[in-house]
Amino acid sequence: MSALEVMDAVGAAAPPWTLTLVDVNFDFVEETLEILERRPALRGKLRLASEVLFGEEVDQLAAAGVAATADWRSLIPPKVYRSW
Amino acid sequence: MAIAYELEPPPNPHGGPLPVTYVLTGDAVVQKRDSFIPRWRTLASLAEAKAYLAAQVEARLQRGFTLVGPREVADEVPHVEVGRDLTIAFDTETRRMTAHFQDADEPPSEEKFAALHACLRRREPHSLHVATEGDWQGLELAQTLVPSLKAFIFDWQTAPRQARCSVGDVAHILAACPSLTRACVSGASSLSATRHESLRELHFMGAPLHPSILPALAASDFPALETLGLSHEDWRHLSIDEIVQVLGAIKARSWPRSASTECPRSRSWTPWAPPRRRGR
Repeated sequence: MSALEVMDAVGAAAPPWTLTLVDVNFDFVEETLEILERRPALRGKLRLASEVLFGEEVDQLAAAGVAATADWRSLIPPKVYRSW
Repeated sequence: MAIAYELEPPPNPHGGPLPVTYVLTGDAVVQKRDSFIPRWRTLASLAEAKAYLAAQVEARLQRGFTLVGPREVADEVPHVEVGRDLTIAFDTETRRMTAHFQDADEPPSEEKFAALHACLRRREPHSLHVATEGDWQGLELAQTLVPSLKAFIFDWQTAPRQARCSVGDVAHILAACPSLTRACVSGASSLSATRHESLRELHFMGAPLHPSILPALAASDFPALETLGLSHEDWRHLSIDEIVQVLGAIKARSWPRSASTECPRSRSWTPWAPPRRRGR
């Protein structure tokens, strides 16, 4: 199961929550944009955490309603609970 | 009163050093935030303690850290050692308790759980982080906990060890802590269908997740839940449809703001995980 498959399936289900996918090596920008074309319910409800996206790719994703960040550590343990 | 000197590391997108706090408390200097259990150094006099503290702070400043403070804080509480393999630390300022079970060979005895329970009752912490370096199976940690807890963390093991580590049924932990707002549980702990009124943030990490987790999440009721994090060593044994169905079935008053999924290619949250080369 890849991040793209999860993205596609969640997009098809169109849930009301935001999906955050943490994959430090994710660089499938074109494929993500294709999925967003097919699954418009994902727009504004998808966050991607990856270390390998270029600035222009982050901008491209933002224009399509996807928030991309390189700071994946703040989203998952142990950093997520460091201040608990 | 004690004096705290907080030092923030220079920004580093790849992780870098952790922030550190030095607390001058009596004739001792306590170093914390950069280690699991705070390190105490007791000096011969207050003057020596101050000199030691100044040298430590200066060394960090030279490495690019930024000093925040100093400021007055409550006196530190020395950590408790139970036998050779359990250390319990309590941070008076954050009301955070840390219990570190170091024995890699044996699950904790009733005596050690009793000692932890006594510390919890005495300090009434808001947060408890339990860490173990050993295999925990067939244990029920819930009976050790206290209702004052607002955050519970069970995490320390390496990924290979997670399959052999459990704190029992997490539903029992939630039931023992009605004020809990945040929980993070790693390993092979199970979950049965439950309801919790105040839980806002819930993370499960497993290598693999216990098979009861997803069905129990679908059958549970978390009216305050905002964030659900799922990290799984290998998602190949689960169907996407099942995951989507489960996330859709969670009964939350307002749907989770975020459902985080760590994907198999990233598998590890270790800061040294090297990015794949891009072949463009």
